[in-house]
Amino acid sequence: MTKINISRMTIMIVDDDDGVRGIIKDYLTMYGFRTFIEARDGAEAYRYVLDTIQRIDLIISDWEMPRTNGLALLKAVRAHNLRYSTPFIMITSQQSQERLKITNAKLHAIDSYIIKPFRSDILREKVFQALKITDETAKAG
Amino acid sequence: MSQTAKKLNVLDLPQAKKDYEYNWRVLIVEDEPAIAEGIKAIISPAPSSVVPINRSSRSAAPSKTAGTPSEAQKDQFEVVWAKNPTEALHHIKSSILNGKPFAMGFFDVLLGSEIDGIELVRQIHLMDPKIHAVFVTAYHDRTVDSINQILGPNKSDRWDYMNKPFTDGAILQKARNAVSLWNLKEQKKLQEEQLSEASQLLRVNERNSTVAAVGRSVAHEFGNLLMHIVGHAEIALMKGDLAQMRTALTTILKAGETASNVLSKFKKMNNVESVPGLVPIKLNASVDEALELMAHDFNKRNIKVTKIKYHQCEVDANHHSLVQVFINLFTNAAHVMSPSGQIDISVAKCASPEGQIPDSWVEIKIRDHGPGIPKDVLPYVMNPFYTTKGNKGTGLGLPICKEIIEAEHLGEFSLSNHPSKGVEVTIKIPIKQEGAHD
Repeated sequence: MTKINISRMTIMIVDDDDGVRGIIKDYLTMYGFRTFIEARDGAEAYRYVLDTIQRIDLIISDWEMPRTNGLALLKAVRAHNLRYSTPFIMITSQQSQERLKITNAKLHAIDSYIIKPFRSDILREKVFQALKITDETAKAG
Repeated sequence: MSQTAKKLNVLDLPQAKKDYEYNWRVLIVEDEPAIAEGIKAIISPAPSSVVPINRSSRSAAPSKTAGTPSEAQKDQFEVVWAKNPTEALHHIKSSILNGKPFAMGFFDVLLGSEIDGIELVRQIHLMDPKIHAVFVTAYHDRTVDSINQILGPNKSDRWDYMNKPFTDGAILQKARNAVSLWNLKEQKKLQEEQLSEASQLLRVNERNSTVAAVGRSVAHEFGNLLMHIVGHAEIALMKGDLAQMRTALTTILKAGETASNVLSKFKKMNNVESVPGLVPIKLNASVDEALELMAHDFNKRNIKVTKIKYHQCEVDANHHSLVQVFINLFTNAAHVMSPSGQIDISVAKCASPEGQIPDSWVEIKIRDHGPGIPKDVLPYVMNPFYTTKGNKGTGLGLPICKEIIEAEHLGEFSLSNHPSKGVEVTIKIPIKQEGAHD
């Protein structure tokens, strides 16, 4: 069985709240990830998406952000000819349009959907699921 | 879905109330039994020979359109006869007590007792101010002006007179006119009551939808704050490092504080029950509270707020209503500007609209830097149920703002395109409200 070296993976974290971004990074570090790209909104994130040399294994993005929101970023990624299959996890606060959002996100092949606030093990499960990593194949480095 | 249904119910409410019961009751005050019987026979003949309203040659026309013409157009006068003032006052009194007031009365002027018909009506009006009186007189013993003087000018639309000898038609028509006038006034009053009740409900409803909009933004803020709390606690626990724990606890406490601040503002806003009347408040505090509640939304939409003039003003006002007005206006402004924008606010004292008393009013201007309102749309934006926001808008935001400013605060509310760019809303309210502190 081939081991996946998760320390080599690059995860992009998109959230306008610095604190929340820091927490997600801390969580991911505890799982063994080492390389991160941070962006404050969809537009900033999209610049990394367009840079084809940049490795991006997973995108974790907040839904509600100033300027370009998470859904716009998701659509842009899915429309990109090289990045279209990049795993994408959407985060949001519980709100009334929740169901609408989920339907909308499913339409654009979202991999996972997390509601704030979430615990570490939830994020771990969703991240590993999205990256198709099982505990046997994981190899923290 | 449920929200729409609720709104419809609010509008349906006035119609859902009990049907209006038409009042046909007529009092005849006449000391001569033969005349009283005569009047009664004319307006309320024996059932076999009921007089239809449309006896003339035109009767064919309306009966085509009316649903049930023969039934609806019959006179249904209910006649009570009093042969002297004492009896008349007794009938009036019991009619009021039974909740079956008289719509009109025929009053003989010379009643052969200590008081005449006119004095009697004056006394009756003290008990039943709504009854319509028709004086019946054989002589020109009183001038119209002298009757007016006795009954008072505010009763001038509640009486009429006719001279003997009269024709059957004159009596019947007087009775019909007076009765229908009484009923029209009553129906109008009822409609006004229902309308004001409905508009009250609408205002509560609109407030609730404003609360819901702010609620969504509060929910988002809470999501982030809870994330800080949960995240830092968990990371600190997992790492077990003392310094890290200290930092985490400080962050958690701060998030908790912020959360309770947000919550207390939201609670205040939602509290419709404790709405006070107009009391002296700091107007700037109302603007600031609305700005704070909108902060998340503004941040999300990259909207900058500039306070061009911001004089501290104390006015007699309802803080919660004003916060609602400002949130509505800020929401509208934010909605038209994307992906970023600017809102200018100015608050300054100004002269009363007539210009006589300087610094007796406050003027608040809220201007956005959006595209403005197209000329063909501008006349309609203040109309209830007009919305450009599709399902998201109730179309009641601006009309309710206008009502809060004009009806509740006796101020002025206007909206126009700014000469250079965007929409400018101008609100003027008097600093002191007469009788605001009783």
